[in-house]
Amino acid sequence: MTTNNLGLYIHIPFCKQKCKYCDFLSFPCSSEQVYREYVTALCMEMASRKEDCEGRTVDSVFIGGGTPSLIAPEDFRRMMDSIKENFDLAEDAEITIETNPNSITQQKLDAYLANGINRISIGIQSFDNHILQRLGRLHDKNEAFQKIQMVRKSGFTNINIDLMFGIPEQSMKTWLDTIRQGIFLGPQHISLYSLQLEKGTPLYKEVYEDKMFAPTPEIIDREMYHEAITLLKQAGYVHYEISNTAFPGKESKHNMKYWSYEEYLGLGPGASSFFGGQRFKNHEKMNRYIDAIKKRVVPVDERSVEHYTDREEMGIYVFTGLRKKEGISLDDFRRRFEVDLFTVYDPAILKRHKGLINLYNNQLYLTDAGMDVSNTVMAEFV
Amino acid sequence: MKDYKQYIRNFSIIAHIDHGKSTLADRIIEKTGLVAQRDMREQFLDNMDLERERGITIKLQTTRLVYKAKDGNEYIFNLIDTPGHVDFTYEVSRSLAACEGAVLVVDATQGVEAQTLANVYLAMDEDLEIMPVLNKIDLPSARPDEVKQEIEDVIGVEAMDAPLVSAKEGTGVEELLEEIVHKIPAPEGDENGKLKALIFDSYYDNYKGVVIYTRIFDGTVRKGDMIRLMNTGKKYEVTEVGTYSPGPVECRQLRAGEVGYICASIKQVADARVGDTITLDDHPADQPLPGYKRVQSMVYCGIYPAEGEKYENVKDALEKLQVNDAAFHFEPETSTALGYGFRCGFLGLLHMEIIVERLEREFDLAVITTSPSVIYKVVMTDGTVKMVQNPTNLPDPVLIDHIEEPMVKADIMVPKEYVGSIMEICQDRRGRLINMEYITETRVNLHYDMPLNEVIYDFFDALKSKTRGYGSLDYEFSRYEPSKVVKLDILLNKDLVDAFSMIVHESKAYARGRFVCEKLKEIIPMHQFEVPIQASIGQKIIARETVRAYRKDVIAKCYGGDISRKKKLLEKQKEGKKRMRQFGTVEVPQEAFTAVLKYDDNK
Repeated sequence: MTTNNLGLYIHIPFCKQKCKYCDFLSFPCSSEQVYREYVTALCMEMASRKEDCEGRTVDSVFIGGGTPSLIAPEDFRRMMDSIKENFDLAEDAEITIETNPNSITQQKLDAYLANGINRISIGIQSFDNHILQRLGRLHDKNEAFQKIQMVRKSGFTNINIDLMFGIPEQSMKTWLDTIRQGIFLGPQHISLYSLQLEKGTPLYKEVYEDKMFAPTPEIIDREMYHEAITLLKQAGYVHYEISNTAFPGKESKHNMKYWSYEEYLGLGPGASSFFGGQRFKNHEKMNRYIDAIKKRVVPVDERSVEHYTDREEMGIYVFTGLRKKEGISLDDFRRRFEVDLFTVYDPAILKRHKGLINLYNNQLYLTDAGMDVSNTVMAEFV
Repeated sequence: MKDYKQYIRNFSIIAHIDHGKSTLADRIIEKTGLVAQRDMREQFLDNMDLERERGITIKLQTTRLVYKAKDGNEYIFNLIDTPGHVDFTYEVSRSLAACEGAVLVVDATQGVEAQTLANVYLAMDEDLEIMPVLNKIDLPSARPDEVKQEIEDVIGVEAMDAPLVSAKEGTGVEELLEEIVHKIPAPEGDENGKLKALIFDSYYDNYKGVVIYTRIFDGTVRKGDMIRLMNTGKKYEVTEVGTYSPGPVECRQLRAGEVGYICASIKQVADARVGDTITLDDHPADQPLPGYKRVQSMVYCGIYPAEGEKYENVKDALEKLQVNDAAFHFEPETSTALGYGFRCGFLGLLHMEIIVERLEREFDLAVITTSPSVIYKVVMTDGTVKMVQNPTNLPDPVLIDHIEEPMVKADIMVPKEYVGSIMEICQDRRGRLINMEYITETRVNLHYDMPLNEVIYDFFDALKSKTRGYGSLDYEFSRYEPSKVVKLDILLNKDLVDAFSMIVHESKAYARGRFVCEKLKEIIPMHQFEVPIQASIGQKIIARETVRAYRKDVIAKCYGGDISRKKKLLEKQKEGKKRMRQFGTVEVPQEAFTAVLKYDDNK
């Protein structure tokens, strides 16, 4: 542990309906009653962690999902109160909530702002109705525009939108139009993700089993990524991490924690933690999670507790760090692990992946080409 | 006192691969009481694991047995085993030359096969007494009368009284042993004459050096004698003579008619070549025994250390194998794709597979083998001739007048219902049918003139597959013939991978190129980018495939900071990579190199 700071991740595992590509932990549910009870459980989990976090400053909170914007304003308020009550929240803490355009209301936005949310992330994915339908999103292009405007007018000054590419039969033009629309709307932060077709999702079935659409060829996918990054850079966004861009100073603190070997505590079912030097996950099954909470024990899934060796932790440090544009600092590595990176790893890696990974000014980082094949390079370090 | 030679019988057992030769040898050994049944490993003579698995004998084992016959006398049986594959014809012929007779084992359910015939002809060439035996008579599908008739018709030896044996159950073996005493002639020769001893096999022993298996034709050899190998001219002092029963038993001398071993501090097997004649240096024989031939490699391929394997380890292992295998040789070579390795010469494809498997199993090495090649005779425009066995060394086409390729005479024996499909695969491999003989009403012997290059790729596999295992093949080199062959290159992600280059006939280049591209597409795992696979002749691309890209978790959301999941994914990727060979940015699994050579049933 090198800093006293801590990130907090709070998982809201509900969606009105699951998107066709999603394999994240989320249950389709529209019952306000269930949401309410769940928030109560979350508050209890926070209380149970209060002692463990004594003396630590929480400098980022990320309420993710699922769809956190499904939670009613009063339940949301309760959750925020619980955070403030159980944790030492830094004054300048970055507090983000993830939302879907469909469930954003003025009332909720007001509640967010009133209770300390200072960053909002909106799952836009695309400004093309056809594509939105293919993904099984609940909003259309107009609603996306409308809600982004609403968020901005409400007074948010740190807005992220998620955009997705590599969607079956998405053309380069459709994608770049989406990027241009996004840039035009001017959020401070834009994330771009390449669609992964995960086994077991309806979209996977449509593409690989029913052959309704052809998957996007890899070369096109890469081009989409590079073209988008180019446009974003021209518009003043900084490409600070493999899938994230932001106006200078608006980089997500919480996101960077994951890639900077900093600690975070995950709350809610299936949430991952790197806490007290340990890596573990909560129970994924809602009933097991709730049972543990009721018994007033931490809802950690014992099987998920990892006992990594120092060498493995070094690997994690490197491969997570390489997601950042700046890469990793050899000095910082030495400070943390008390050994030189290149006594642990073969310097020949640099030669082997020439053009993909660079060492400059004591920083080790992936080049643009390296970002395309990041796993290949990262695998050298695990 | 009767001549000791009257009580010696030197014989081999010849049979097709799975006709039960080894099992029969086991039963004979058992019946003569040499090894108690319970101590006996199955199939005593095949003592290499690899041979056991493939059910074929590669390395000879020779055993001295004592049989008490019904006439009350004890006979010494020298059972000389022979390797059972088409690649080892010369070795077989030398083993046979050490015998007076051959027990011909024919499967009573299957009848005569091409390989049986080939070995019978070899035995006849050595003037051996052929003694047919029908095996597997315990099987319900056995048809002994028909098969006896077949033996008489095809081979022309008396077979009506052939012993009926079930080596598996041990029935009929007693009768067989009696027959051996009566039918196989005792050896001749003068134990007081000038020494003439045939080397019919040898192996390397860490303590004794090369151990020579020999048959003494004339004279006597003892410890301390100075011997000379007549064909190589090398001289050695005998340190030990003995017999195998089945372990080495030192004895005072080996006399004319006897079979045994000689040790003489010989450093490698290649110095005591099979077929050479041993004589005494101070009283040399006038003429060596006939039939000596320096075996020539017919097939070449590159053997390279796989990723993470040390060059030196591979070199050491190859040296050890070479010491024990005069037919195998190697020299260093380099490949741009695979780095430092060796060009190795083999008798044939099976011989090559055996060496590679031994490297992997006995020496626990990971190696990559490149496409096998035959030796091409390249006639240059200036009239000079180059022998090329590595596709990479093929000179610039503008300097070549023409190329000649080795042709073989192939005998393929199949049940008649498969003739059509065999003709198809032979035609497909540029074979020319010379003639076709009906051996019996149901069995056909097809004589083909074929390029060796077509035989070594996948012909044997194709033959087996098309005939449900009933077809058999025998081939021998016949001549060089001008041919329109071209160099086919494979490019991965636009880079030429020299290890995949091969020389093929012009007419086959497109099909071959397509096949290799398709095969590689199946084998090369998805990458994080698309990998074009191309086949080319010179600058011309003749086939193309693309390996689909693998994109899992490249630019994806790292859900809620689940680093362990990502770590596992990377570990899996890394694990997979260990078995890969890196070419530029493309990773190719080791098995790709052999897989592109395998016969594909669906093609």
